[in-house]
Amino acid sequence: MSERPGERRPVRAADRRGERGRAPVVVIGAGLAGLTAAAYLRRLGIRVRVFEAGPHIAGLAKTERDPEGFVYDFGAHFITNRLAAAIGVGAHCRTIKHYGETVRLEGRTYAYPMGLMRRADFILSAIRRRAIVDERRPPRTAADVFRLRYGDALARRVAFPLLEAWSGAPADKLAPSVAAALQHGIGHTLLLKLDGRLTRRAVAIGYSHEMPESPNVWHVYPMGGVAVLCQRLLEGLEGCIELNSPVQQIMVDGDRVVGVRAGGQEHAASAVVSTAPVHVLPRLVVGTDVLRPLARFRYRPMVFVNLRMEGRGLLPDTVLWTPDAGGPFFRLTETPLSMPWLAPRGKTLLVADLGCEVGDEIWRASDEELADRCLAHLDWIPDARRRYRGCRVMRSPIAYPVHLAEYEDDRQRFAQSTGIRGLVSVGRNGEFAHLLMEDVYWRTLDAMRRLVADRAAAAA
Amino acid sequence: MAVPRVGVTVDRSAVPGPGLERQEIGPDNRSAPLVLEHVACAVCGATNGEPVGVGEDFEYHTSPDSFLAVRCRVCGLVYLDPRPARSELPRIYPPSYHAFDFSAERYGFVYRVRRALEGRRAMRWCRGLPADARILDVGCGDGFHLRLLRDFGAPGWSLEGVDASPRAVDAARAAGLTVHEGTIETVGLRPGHYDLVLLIATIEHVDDPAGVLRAVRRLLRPGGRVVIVTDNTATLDFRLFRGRHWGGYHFPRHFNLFDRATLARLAGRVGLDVDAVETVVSPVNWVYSIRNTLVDWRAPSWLVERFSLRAPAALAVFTLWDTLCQWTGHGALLRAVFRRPVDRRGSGGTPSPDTTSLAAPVGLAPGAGPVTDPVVAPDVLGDSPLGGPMLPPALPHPSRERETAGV
Repeated sequence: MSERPGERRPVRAADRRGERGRAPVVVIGAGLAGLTAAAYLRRLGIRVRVFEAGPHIAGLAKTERDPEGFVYDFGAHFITNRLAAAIGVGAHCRTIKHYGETVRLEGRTYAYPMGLMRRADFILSAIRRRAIVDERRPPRTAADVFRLRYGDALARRVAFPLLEAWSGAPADKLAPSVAAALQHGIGHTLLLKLDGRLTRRAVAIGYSHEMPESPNVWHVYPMGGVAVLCQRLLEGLEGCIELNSPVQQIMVDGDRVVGVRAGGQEHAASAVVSTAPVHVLPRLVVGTDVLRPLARFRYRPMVFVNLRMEGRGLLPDTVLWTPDAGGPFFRLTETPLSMPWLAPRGKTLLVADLGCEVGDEIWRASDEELADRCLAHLDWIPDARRRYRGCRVMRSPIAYPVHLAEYEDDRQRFAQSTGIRGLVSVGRNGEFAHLLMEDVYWRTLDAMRRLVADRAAAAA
Repeated sequence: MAVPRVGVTVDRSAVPGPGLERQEIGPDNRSAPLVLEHVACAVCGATNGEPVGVGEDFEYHTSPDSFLAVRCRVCGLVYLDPRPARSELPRIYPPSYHAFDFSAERYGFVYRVRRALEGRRAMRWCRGLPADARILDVGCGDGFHLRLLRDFGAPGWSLEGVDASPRAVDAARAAGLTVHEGTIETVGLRPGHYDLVLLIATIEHVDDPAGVLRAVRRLLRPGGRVVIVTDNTATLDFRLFRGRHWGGYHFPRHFNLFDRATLARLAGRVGLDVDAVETVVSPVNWVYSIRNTLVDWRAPSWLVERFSLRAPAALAVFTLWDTLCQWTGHGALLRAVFRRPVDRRGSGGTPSPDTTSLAAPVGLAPGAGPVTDPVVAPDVLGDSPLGGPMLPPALPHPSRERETAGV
């Protein structure tokens, strides 16, 4: 994410000047970001207190296993071998040998993204768009970006429907930042794919924006889910974490954080690292209203329907995008194609992603009702209904941040700084960014380095 | 910060989700993970490492862990973070550890070539020493280099070694050498006593290189010098293989990897003057980079074995190749000569300017000290085609024992 100033400031012992006698840094949330922040600060000898609202660590991450042997991951649970090594959990991870995405369009399947270039109408449209559009004019919406990058036909037939189902807003209402580009262009991406084939490893492509892509960085699956990472980060944080302790207030004096209220008590804080969804911050922060614009920021709720099915290989590849499915879902994932251990032998899991709003008919529908709706649009899978063995549904009220153009300026300002000295917002929800696990880790470390350097500068 | 464990158990009381029992997540069919700990940069104390490589123990398969090599964004040191805790040293240097197993029996021709060339090299380090010079080899193992000095050096030289491995020390003593058992910081040698200290393929293995050099500085007489030979990260082989397979990583046994600037900076931090930092030809990192790649890609063993220290053809080819690299100033190894400044405050034992440990696992070092510009003088003539032994400083080296038995 290039919009945040990317300076990598050194952190040295000199930065610890003035730490003695200072109030601790309060971390809100014991998920990957919160624990990464707390563990880093703790290693530098800075006192930390972590307040976790729920009864568990690991934030939103959740892994469940049913008696039949199906494993349900809440949230994307694969990471990279690089992140696993950085945290020190490589020994607990299994290599993912293959990962691929496809698009189903008009009954045909195309590999994503290159396979779509098989269609002449898409190619012609892309060429035409490049020829007539003045590229110097900066795109104002996500729709502009996709039209420019892929041409009108592909944008209209594939990108817009997916974008709208995913975000709940039309593409011309979304900010250009939604459209992430490939890190190194098509040639490099093809090379990485080739590397993955040769080495039989799912080389991570488009996964991390913070660190370079490489044939040596591939997807791995932490056995036990993200909790394994969090458990490792917990070492050294004994006595610093308070579960069932929602933070009710973040107290600001002037333009500086001075403490938090949690469990009905006030706690002094020299800084606060929040992983809370940003639209909650204006309600939490007392003593200033500089965060008021964040109240408008929206997250897209999502319902994930896990269909237990007989057979394996029901989808052409791990992920199938369905821009013209006409049904409730826009994406299907057959996780056992990449991670065979997530389902018993001879069976599989299909995860259907359904965008919704909290309280709407999808959100309120029963599990079986949702499964029935999904199956109705899976008639192209032979005997889909006969294969169906049951389902489990997970609902997330804040699955993805929605970058609406109407608050893009505020979002970019927030991406630079919260505007309150000593208040840092990190993590997928805290940054209001569609970050994957590895970027959450590196960006949180960078944020902590900036925080420590700022504290040292202030002390000096 | 890490706690000993046999395998990580996810305590489900702290993890959301019904239907899960306490679950053992350690791999079933592999040995237990190592205890790993995060560290700061050993040269500048920053905790600002940028990932450069991720790999495994391709050579000995001592654990199922993967390891991350990072480059310090402040000073450029390449180091392992996290790295095995001290308590894990016996595991990462298993009894079968035999890198650079240059016994005459096993290596024959290669051994003889190396002994001859290394002997010439050792004599170059000793140029200008008085007839009664006192020389200390830190991490001497079974005394390979001490024996070279005894065989080729002046008869009046006093030769001593230090090694923490009882097995290595026994072997060296059996060869008639004077070797102290322990680490240089703890064996209680006489301060200000030595004219020359050797650290041959040792400094990259130690967890506190500044602490070791500080101890070396105390032991040197004013004006005495230390010769360090270690892997060089400013090389073509590092650039090509750094993402995973670079032989110099020797995952997870090389904790700190230097280039000229970082090595010179380390000297400056501990109050040593830089006489020279040169590069030296060695085929080993090339050969092992290729070998690691082949191992990682599950190449057939007949092919893997074409790239080893028992493969004269590969060693010869990459000696020639690294000689070309050397001409550009980027030979595979670094050879540094540092000198204890003539002490203006008195005789030996004066503390170095920086008395704070730099490599405390979770701490930070104080602000950077003066950086001494290295004197860069690429050295082509008289180089050994083989680097020094990758000897763990505190553990037995079976090859050296065998070598001793055979000599």
